[in-house]
Amino acid sequence: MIKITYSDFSIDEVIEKMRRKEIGAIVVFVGIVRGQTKERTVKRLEVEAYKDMTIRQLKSIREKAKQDFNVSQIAIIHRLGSLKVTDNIMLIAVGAAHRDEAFKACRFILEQIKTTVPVWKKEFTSEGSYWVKGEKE
Amino acid sequence: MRVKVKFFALCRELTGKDEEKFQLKNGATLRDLQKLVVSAHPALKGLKNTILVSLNEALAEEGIMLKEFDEAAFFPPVSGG
Repeated sequence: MIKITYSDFSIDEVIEKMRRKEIGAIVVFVGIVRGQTKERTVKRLEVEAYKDMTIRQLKSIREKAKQDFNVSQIAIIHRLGSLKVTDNIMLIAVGAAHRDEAFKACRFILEQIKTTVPVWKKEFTSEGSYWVKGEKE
Repeated sequence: MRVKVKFFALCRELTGKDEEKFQLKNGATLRDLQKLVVSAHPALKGLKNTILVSLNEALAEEGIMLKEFDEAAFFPPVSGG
């Protein structure tokens, strides 16, 4: 499953859909809105994406992860729009026969998203609003 | 030829536009488009070294030739996840 959405997601529902007899491990990463950045108190977060390119990039990352790490089930959901502190931002769930490849694939997908998928976050804080710096800035 | 350019995040704020059409000569490259866009929106000059440019929904090299109705996008380094 690849999805970008303005709504929240259910982690349990995603995991239930991934269960297969050949899967022995599901690794889940959930990114959530942090209430503090350096000395600033975060009030909310706005998430923006180049939607078509994001879907295309996520599909490509999924295929690469399947090939390179021998994992069979991958779900990626990224939220857009206005989010409040503690809200879910993103979910990556990877199902594999064994834990090692599931952990590795999950980490790979996360790092790829952080550096190649056209999504941007803007923090609204007690001291004004700021675009979150990219990993490559 | 006409090429559509989309702007995202800080690039959208600095240009004040979601998208804009630009007219280029046949044989123009993505580099030519970049120059044209920055000259139309000098506010982007300060970001010039960090701006990423995609072509038809994929990151692209500056030297690539453009075609009629291509869609480019200008945006800062990504920060999702």
